[in-house]
Amino acid sequence: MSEIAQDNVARPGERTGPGLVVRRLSRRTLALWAIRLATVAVLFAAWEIIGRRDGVFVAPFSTTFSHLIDLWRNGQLAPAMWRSNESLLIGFPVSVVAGLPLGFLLGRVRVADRGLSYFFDVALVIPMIAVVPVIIVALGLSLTARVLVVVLFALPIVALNARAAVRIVEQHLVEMSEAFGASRRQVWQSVIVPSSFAPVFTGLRVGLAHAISGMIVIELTLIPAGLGGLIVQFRSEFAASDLYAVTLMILIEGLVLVGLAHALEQVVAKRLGTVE
Amino acid sequence: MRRALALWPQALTAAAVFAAWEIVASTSKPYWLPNIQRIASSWWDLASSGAFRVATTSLETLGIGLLAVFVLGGVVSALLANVRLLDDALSPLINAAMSTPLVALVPVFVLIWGYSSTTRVVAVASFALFPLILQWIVALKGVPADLREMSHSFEAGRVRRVLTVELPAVAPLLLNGARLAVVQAIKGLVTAEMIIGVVGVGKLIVTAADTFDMPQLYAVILTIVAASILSYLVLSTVEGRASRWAE
Repeated sequence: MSEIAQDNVARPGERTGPGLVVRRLSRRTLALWAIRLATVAVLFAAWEIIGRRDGVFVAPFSTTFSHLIDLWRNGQLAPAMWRSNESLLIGFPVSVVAGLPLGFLLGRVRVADRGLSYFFDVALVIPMIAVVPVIIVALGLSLTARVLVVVLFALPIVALNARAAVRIVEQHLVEMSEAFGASRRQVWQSVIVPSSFAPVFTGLRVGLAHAISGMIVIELTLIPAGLGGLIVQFRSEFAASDLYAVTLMILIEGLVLVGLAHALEQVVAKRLGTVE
Repeated sequence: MRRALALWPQALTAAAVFAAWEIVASTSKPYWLPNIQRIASSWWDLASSGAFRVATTSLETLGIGLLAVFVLGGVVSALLANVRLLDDALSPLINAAMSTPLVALVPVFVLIWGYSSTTRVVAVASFALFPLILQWIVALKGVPADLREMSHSFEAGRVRRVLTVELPAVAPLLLNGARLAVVQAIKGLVTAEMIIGVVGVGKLIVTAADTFDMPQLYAVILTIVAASILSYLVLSTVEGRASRWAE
């Protein structure tokens, strides 16, 4: 699936050398950050200016931010965040615990792969949001329904990445360890799992991003609960600044959680660097 | 024949799913799972009453949105693929944006542009643009260096060189990006229409769900699912042709 590849596009490493090269490199880093900050600054400035001119449909960044703090202080935001994240807290671990073994199975057992993988491919291709109404009719406006949606969003990507990860394990390593008399379990423990760790972790990170989307999607469409519920409420009240504040909060949450996962991923990758 | 026989694991699991569906639907008769005949007849009613005609507005929006995405994505990815500094500076930002649940922006679009098609076009673009840019950057960077030099030495014009030599060489990757964008665009469209609830296929779904008309709900959902799988398969085939041709 192309969706797997898009997130971990390998970039050729920078040449590091002594003296001059290092100094040039640090100047380059400076330029990179200057461009990044300038881009973000322009975006936020545009938001602020458009917001100040309009005021009805676009709340400027400054107002949005102060409303975000107000919503937090008056106790509307925290309970909503907790309610929303309940489904993520249950749904994402379920996706991981079920998705990883499934993916490993699909990656190493050919018949299972051919018979089952296309369901996951289909799950990634279709707009999963369309299935949400059926889930709600079946399970009601319950936590179970929300957890199920999170799982439907996250599990396919976790499983397919795990499948891809154990598939690319060098066959000659497996054969060599078998030739040295390693048992099936030992092959998994000392060859397959370590060498597939990094791509599996990438899959988990992408899966987490999908899970957060799933958590929000069901709340926006048919179950007005948690953060999505606040959004629906503020939209009907035309409370633009509050709506923007909650939206900003959701984006920040996604950025922070996936950012943390990314940082963790890099720590793990560095530790396992010797394996590759 | 042998190729068809090789698909037995897929056929077996698909048959198992449908059999399980039919058995559950006709024995324990849960409210949320109508049997396949009822869904089929409901689909036929919808089709003959012309209810699917609302899908034309959806397709129109999809087309406009994708056009905008391809033009914008083409410009940005061409820029980033050719200016290394910009690519290294901005690609992480694009990646970061993709890790946020952009679906949360749809209500903001609705607030700004109402139930107009602009809202849906922007939603389509917000889903499809970033993945397309990242994939197209990879594609455009993949133009083989010897090909560049060769076309250089023939002194072809810059535009002609790009169009006739460099782009065809990476056509499979470009098409791969396009396929990714189409998949995302369909997701964006359906998401926006369901959140809006009164236009296009989103209206069909929301109406069926609100009236608890389960066969109709399934008929609409399965149509959307079939359409997205179909477009994916068509684009995959085109991509496969292109990569065979590029070799």
